[in-house]
Amino acid sequence: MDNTERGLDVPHLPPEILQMIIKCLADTHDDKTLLRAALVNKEWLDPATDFLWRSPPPGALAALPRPRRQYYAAKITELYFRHIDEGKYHSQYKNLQFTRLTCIGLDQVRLRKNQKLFLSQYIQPRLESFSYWGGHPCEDALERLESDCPRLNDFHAIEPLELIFDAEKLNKFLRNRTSLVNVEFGRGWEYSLPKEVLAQLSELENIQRLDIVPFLKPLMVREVWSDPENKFKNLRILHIRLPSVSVGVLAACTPLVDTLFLEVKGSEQDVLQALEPMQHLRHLELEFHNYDGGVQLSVEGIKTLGKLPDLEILLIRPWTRTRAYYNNLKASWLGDDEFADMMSSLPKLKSLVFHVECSITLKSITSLGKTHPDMYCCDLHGVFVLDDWSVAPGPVLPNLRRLAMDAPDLRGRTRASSTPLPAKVDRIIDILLRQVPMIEQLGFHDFERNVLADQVLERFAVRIDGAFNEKEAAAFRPWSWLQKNGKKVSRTGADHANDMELFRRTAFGHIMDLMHE
Amino acid sequence: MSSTDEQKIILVSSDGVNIETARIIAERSMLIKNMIDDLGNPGEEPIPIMNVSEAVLRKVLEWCDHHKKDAPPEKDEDAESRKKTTDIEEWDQKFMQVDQEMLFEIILAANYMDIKALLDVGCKTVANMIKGKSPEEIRKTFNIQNDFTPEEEEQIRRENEWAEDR
Repeated sequence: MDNTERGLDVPHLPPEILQMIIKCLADTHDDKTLLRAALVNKEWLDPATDFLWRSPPPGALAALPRPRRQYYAAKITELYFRHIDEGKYHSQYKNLQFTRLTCIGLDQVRLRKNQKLFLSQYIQPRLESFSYWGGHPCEDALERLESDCPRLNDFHAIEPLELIFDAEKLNKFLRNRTSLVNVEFGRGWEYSLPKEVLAQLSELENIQRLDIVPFLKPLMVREVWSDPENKFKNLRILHIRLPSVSVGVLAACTPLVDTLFLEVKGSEQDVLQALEPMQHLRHLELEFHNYDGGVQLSVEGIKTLGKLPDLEILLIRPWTRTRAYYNNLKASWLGDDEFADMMSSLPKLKSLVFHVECSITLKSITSLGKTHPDMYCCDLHGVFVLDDWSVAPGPVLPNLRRLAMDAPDLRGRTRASSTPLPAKVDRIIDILLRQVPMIEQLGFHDFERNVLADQVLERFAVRIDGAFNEKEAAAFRPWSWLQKNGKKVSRTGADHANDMELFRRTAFGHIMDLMHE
Repeated sequence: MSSTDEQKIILVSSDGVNIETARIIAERSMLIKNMIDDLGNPGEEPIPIMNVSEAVLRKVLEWCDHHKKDAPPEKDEDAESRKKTTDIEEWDQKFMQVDQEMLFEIILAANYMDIKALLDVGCKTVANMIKGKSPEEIRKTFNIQNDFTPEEEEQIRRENEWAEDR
């Protein structure tokens, strides 16, 4: 029986089932097969291109002849302009209707003289996420977002949309666009984020995540947030940069926040102690910007961490610019016993990044295997001598996925110089793989200057699947950065499971400090 | 096992054959479950399954029998988004090793009888048959007539060629 004969008996699949089949292909991100499916016949063309064009590269439409652009534009649900050169497409697309668009990411646009920036084609009723890096649109984009986008969840503006900033207009938008859940003001708001807007933000019950990138001034923080009226109502995730003296003021008005990314300048006030009112904290990332003075963490400050009963993820480290690694964050009083005390007050901790100069030894890491068997990340400051692990019955840390330190070392029974380097490297990796059997990522902060660390990393990448291994661990990145770089982010700020995933991706990804550039 | 689980009901295929089965098996189908809930007195009256022939209905019930202990179908979208692969469990893969006519009939029956998990497996099976094939091979596999002119085909290829490098 040939195909034609057999085909006579094969029933015709209705369009909704054909669509389901093609969706299965789309779910595996197999664009090549989708393209081939589109070429089967006219019936297959529509559903296949519906999925193929959900998130095309921004130049794909411009490559089409003009009369064909609308057909595909109406299929696009996510469109991200990720490069300044792609700004030229906005004027070419200005007469198209992007009726299915839910997410738009707009990179900075550099306009030439007499050129205008058109954005209203993207501001459509289905829009849920709007990210804007700058360039000043010629239309009233804010007004349109307020009136035309009832589903708008995410609003990320790296700089103000208007050349002449109008605080009342922004407040009206924030007040009336009640669907907003996540709001971000990027570095371009350095001089334009007035206290009226900050006060307005704290009044909104719908906001669950807030990112404010510019450093706020102490006076402004005091004026807005010492007023008990301006307590945040439902905020769960906060990313903010403050002088140390302002931390206490803010902590008192963000009682429900469970995820805090805080960057601090100055050391006039003990930041850790100031965080005590934030009793719901589950995830805390704290970076200290101190170029000269350095910061001493106090005994009381570390004790305060133990008063945050739900803490699962903790990061404390100096803020670092690009790859240069220096550490001026100290707790010289903290040895193995004090570390054990700290950890016993944090029973739920699963991830610890603690780049604080102190005097702990391998003993502290070893003890985590007993006190915190579920820990998946341990990242500490210092060079650790691994000799004790070479004789310990393993595994010391059965569930740890990521281990990082400044550098490893091995003293051996004889003088170090008598063991050839390659043999030492292999022994270190043997020890690590035996004592930390689930390890996926190994990191050494000092690897560029430490030949041993450098070679251990190199060999480690060969011994395990190198794809997992990242040389640097970076902390939290603002939402807009993730979007612009095509990282998947969770939609709802309150979704803890997604949030944890987001953290894993951001904290362990190979992402450098682009937000500081 | 509760009495509801053991309860027998009778289904009538489109070609008029009575098939007796356990209620717990038949209720994998939301169509049947809703009918039983609406009618009350299950087991008294045979339930007609209008669009499904005996051979296909028996095959569908075989699948329902194997999956009768699975968790009830979830409604939330999250559950759906969790299994975004074309992986199919081994038993289902074997079950789907039928000729194409039967495969399509099972998919249509699963759609009509509202058995989401079976519909899913069916669609994934077809999707796996499409993977890696050229348009011409897909047409051959499913006996589809190409109704594009060569110019139209060339145009679509050109308009979508960016997808080749993704």
